[in-house]
Amino acid sequence: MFNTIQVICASEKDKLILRGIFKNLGADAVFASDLNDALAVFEKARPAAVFTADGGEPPVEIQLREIRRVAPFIPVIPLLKRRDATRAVELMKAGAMDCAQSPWTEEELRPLYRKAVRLTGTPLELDSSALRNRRRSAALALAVFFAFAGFAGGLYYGYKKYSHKAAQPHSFALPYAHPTGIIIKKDSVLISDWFSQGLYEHSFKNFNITRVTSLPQVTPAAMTASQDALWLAGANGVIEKRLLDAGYSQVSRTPALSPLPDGACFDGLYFWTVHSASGVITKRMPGDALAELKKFKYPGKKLSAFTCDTRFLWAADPELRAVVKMSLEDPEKIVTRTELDAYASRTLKITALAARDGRLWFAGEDGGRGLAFYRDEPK
Amino acid sequence: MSLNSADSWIPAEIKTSLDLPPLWGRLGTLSPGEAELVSHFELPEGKVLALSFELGRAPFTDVRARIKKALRDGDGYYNYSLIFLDPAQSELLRAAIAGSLPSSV
Repeated sequence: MFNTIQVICASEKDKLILRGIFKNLGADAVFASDLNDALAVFEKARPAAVFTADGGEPPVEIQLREIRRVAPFIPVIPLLKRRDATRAVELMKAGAMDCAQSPWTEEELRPLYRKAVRLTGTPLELDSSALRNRRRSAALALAVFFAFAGFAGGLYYGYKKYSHKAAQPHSFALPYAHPTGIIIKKDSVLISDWFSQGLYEHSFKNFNITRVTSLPQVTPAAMTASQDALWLAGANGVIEKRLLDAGYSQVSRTPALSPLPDGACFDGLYFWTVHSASGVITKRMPGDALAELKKFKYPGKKLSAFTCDTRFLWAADPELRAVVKMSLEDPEKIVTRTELDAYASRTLKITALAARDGRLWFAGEDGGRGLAFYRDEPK
Repeated sequence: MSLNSADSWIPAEIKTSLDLPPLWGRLGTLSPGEAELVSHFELPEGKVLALSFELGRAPFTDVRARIKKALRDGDGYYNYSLIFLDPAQSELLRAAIAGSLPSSV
């Protein structure tokens, strides 16, 4: 552990106290009487952290600014003369790692010192002579890297050539990467994206985008539809009912629901919402307020996307790597569990699901890229 | 179904009682119902705290929370798992977190 620290302290009495404390902590403390002294020896000392006593000139705020100008990532810990949380918080907002309170004792400073000198980051180097000295080792590292890259490339080529490819025969790339809901209409597919706060309508034939509707007031967390209406669940927990007209006119909105719904569907009779983190499935009346009827616990392992049709509830489960089918009457019981080939990709995150005409449609992201695909409904 | 984060660990003022001066620390994680607080001050499990901090531009004052669990790391810092006690304050937090979602990504 690199243990050189710099201490800025004008008072000789305080210096004496701090010298003893840091010696006991095993630190190699370089003392400076003021900021100018500190900056003068900063390059030579290369400290792992700076401790600066409060009450000196210039004020700690300016010292913080100047030290961070020279070394932006160095932990700076002001040593306060009294316990003043408001000032400590202000200094931390200004860039201090933490603040120590008075009286300065070994017990008080130990965690701060240890955390500060352990804090590591990307090493930055300006000294070119040091770089020259390391050229040989860098060349060696480069050779090892290329050897490894060649080996990994061969392995990847072999894997691609000889391993079974994840079957996604009906897959489409999306030009956005945060889909939250998918609806299958008669001749198009509608997908909501929370990041761009928009609804994207795709042609059913080639999946080209035919229309984009921006919803700047809503951050859609989930979406579902019936024959004549569309529901959008916002990140604030409010579910809006909208018409399926050109502008998706708003009809009604619920109060903020709890737990926060991030999946929703309408089975033709009842409305369903899910909170994926807790796995709570909520059955609701399909009125304007979507009044809660009953809560159920998701019977699988992890729910990442949810939908329903007139007969079943469906969920994508990344831990089971499967599509889970549940009964509308008893959602706490799994009817069937069917492995999903697409989960062969370990980076796939399915975030939206829809069921229509014997097909399940999925939307999500894989390695930072949005995608949608479908497969036949499992029996 | 996505996570977001602030651009730095949020500094927080910690009130433990009306008689004692407040302490300080940083919020490691924050959700409407729970938070993780990192501080070098030792506090007992079960203690009720009042936290003051800023989320985005919204100031939160005296958000009541109970220490569910306290763990000390190798450096001597304490990691506290907190549960927020006031549903009204949790709702305000939820709104603030939801409001900061797009800009924080």
